[in-house]
Amino acid sequence: MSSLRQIKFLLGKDLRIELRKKESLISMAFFGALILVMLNIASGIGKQIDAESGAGILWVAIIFSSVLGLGRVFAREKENGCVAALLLSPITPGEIFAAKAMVNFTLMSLSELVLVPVFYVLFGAQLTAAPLALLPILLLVNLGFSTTGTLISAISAGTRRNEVLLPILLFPLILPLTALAVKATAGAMAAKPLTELLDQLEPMVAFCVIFTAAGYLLFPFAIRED
Amino acid sequence: MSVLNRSALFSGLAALLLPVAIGMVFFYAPMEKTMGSVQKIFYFHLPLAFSAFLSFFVACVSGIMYLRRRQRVWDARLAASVEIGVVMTTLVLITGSLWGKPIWNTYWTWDPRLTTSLILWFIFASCLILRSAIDEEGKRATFSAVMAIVGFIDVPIVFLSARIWRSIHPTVIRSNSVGLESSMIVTLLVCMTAMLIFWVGLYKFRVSLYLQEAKVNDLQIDGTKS
Amino acid sequence: MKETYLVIAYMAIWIGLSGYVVALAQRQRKLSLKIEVLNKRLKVEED
Repeated sequence: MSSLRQIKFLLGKDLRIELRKKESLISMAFFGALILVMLNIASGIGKQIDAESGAGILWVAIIFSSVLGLGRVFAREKENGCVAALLLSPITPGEIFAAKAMVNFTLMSLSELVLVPVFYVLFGAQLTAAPLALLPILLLVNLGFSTTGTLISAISAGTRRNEVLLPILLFPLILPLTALAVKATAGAMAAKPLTELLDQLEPMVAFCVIFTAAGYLLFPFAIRED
Repeated sequence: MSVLNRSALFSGLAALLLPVAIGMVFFYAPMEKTMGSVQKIFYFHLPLAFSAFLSFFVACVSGIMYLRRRQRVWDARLAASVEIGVVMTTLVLITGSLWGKPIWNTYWTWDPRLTTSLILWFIFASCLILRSAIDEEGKRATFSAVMAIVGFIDVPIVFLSARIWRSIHPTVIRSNSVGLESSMIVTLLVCMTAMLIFWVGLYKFRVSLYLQEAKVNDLQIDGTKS
Repeated sequence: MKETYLVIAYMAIWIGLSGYVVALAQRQRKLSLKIEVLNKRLKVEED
């Protein structure tokens, strides 16, 4: 019970900072929209995109923009030496992990609220399904991405080359998740029912479970400053 | 001293066995009917792939042991096996493409095994980049241990998702269950043994080199302090 | 024609592996030189 309260407390703290400064969210949404526009131009103006390439484009924009927010969450703590304070407080590393993963999850979901509509405006002419059909896929990727990302960003924030290392370390790990998400999204955009996408969704769930567990177990080592 | 001697023993054995293995590939093993001479790549491709995978397994185990025991030896073992694994996976990918071009008429295809080795290469190469980015020994060891463990956990997921994911593309390869002739199997076994002995020698050499370097480093730091 | 692929593959394997071994040996040699230098300095300090 008290551990839930502590997670909520940490989460509230981070979200409040975000609400006041808005540094991550605006840059995430802005950068993602920028990628979408660039890919729209790159794929040839006036050309129609089919569901499969569309899914790829959407996920490139989401993944690349989310890394921006991910890097900030820990860099902010490191810059002011807050990690040491957090570790001294009666909060366990597991609780810090849960809270940070939730912050990332929230930030990703909020930025997707901007990116998905922008995507539909730019590429949506050919796509039959409503954006709502993407919801389960988006939530699953957000979960897997934010737990894996929290672990990796704790590592990369401990080095001197945070911004460079984070995507280098993270992208290979989440490649299977992204590949499955692209395929599932392509299916959903072609208006397939959710039951036909289970082939992709099930391994995605497995990915989330495994990496949430691994992140929870390994996070204490990644965050310690020795 | 005994470690060095044993490393020399394995290296010497490998130096004897590897030429024998090459000789067997070219003079003892029969020519494969459909693939012709290109099939001879296989005799070293498979042992290389196996030793590469073995390296990553050793890296994962060393990572777990380091996090539990915090001894420098385990970090040395991890560093050695990751480095050897990356070198060998690079060769596996090169030889695999060179085999694929004349047989499947393409250098690259998203077959599960190819995908898995490529992503493994990315993960562990990024682990090497991570190691080069950190100067503090303890931190470097902990972080790369976490990366090695997470990277190895990723393997089954990558393999599974590549199998699901590829079904969207027509695959060039059927899982080719080519019945091997007995002389081919003998050649393969000799190559496998030679490569594994070579691996052990290389691994022991790399570990001892790492430990020596670390020790000299310690001495120098002590020297500047006093 | 097919043989070219075979030749390139075998060259890649052995050049790659021996290149790695040579690089390691080079590092070992440098390290032993370093140890020798340190050792000499130590002796000078003792005298």
